[in-house]
Amino acid sequence: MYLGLELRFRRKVIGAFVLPIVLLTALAAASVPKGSAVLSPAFRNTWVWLHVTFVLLGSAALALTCGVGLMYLLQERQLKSKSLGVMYYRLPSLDFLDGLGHRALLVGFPLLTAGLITGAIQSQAARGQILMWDPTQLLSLVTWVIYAGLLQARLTAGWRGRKAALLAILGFSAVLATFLGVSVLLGRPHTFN
Amino acid sequence: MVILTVGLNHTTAPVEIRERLHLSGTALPPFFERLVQEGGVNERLVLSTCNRVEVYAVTENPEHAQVTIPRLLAEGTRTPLALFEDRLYWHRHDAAVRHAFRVAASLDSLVLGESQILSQVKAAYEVARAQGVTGPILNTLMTRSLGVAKKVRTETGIGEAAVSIPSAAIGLAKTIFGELSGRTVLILGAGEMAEVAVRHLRGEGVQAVVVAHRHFDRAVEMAAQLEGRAVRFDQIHQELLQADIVLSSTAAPHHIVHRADVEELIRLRRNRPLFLIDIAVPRDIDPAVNEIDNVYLYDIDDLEGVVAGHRLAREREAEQAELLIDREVASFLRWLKSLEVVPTLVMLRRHLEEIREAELAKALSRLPGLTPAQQDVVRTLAHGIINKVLHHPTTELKRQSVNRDGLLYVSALRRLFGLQDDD
Repeated sequence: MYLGLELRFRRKVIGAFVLPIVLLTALAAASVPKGSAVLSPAFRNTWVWLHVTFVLLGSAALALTCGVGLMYLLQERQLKSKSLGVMYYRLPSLDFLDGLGHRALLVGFPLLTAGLITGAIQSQAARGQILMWDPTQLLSLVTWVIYAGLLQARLTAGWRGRKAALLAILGFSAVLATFLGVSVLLGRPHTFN
Repeated sequence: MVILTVGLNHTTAPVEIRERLHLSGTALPPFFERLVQEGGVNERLVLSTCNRVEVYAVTENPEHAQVTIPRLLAEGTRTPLALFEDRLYWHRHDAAVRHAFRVAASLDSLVLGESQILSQVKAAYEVARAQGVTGPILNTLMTRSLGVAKKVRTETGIGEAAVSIPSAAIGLAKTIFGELSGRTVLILGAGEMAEVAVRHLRGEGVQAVVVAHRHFDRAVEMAAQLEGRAVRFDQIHQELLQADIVLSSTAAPHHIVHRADVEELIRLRRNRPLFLIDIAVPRDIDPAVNEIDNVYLYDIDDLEGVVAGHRLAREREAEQAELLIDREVASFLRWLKSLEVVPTLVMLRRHLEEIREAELAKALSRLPGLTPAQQDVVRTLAHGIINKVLHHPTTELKRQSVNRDGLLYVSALRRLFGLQDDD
């Protein structure tokens, strides 16, 4: 996905911000306990695959909103403080960063939503109830609410720039927390068995 | 064969002297002619811009040229020699090469990294070449200079940061808005700076220009000049809703745009970014406006600060450029050395003698029954062939080497026999 972006915009600097985030996610994912390697038959179905695919693609797009959000904050800070450092010459314009963040949100949010819905359907089918009240489910709801709020603020209240960038970063922190924080810290992987 | 540069520039001579020595057009052909007749110069070129007058020459007799060139410069421009003689600088050989590269790459310019000098060097070269006064050395020096200049431009950021206030303001606007095409600029008040900035902005594709002035007829007048639209001053709040860039330079003694106004404005604009440039003294816009999200306010001191920062950035890039030029000078000097006749002839002879020795050894080992006298005959035969083969090229090369195109023979010879320096 990042390569596609680079071809589209010819801005290598985006990679400098987005790739570390992706790498961090991958590293953390690799450190998650391997307890859930064997899936019980109830979870080997289309819904699970759809759930996983949607969530991963959505997260990738949201990682991008987070990366460009960071870049936006850096660039905005330089402009506001009127001390233009080395990054001023390297970073793209605020308009570009804000626009890219917005578009990535427009792609990422529906994917995330689809991921949550397929997850809920799967949960209903496998365990007879939508909410298991496990931390992952709760945190992903929190994540969804943050992004829904961001999208709402952007589309109706005309939010853009710094506040939108801050919220995008907060949102992705929630995504990361959902992915790893819970599994690692609480030692309870999102249950598959 | 020595490359020589003599000239003066903005650091050594004031503009009154530089403009008197300006050499161009019809003054050039007789000057070039006399450089040959009286100066004993083989190749020559004149670079004359508003910041420098320089003569590049290739000569066998640099001492003579060093005396003649200033005199011819004085006579060619009808300027007393005493007026500028002590302002001239001289560069010889590698220093002259380095100077040519630095000039073309704009490291010797008044405004470091400006791009105009490149086209001026190119034009000077084209003029000299059209008149047939350059030769292989200056041709190569100039082609390399242009190449080095382009390399410096692409490999360092020397020309990137804007070093004038209008272009720095435009750089900032681009950092905020990305593309400027289709944007709207609102001018409050009048002033030359505003006009210059609008011209720059037009060049970037800014579409609408709106002018507001306390005196409406002045606004109309300026709007006509800038191909914009004039509005009454009491309508500026309406216009501020639409504008992307505001350039304020009124003569008002107090702020005309207040923080509360802009807060309300940005709400109504649904946070669409606004870039305010306040070049008025005293200032027109309350500095606290900069604290509002999506609003960027720069006053004249801020812009000057940006320009100073950009100058520093260019100086940092210039250090990179100097390193690049060091390498290019070394490479040019290697090429120059390869054009020297005597070392080339020595190399050619050594090359042929190596072949002779190898072939002799082979032949003699296959003829074990030869008496010493017979062996001598074979040796003399080989030796004689080499000498006969070398005789004509050697004399011809020496004869040609004093001509302008002689260097081409040297390089052709090196190419044909695959001769390379040991070092």
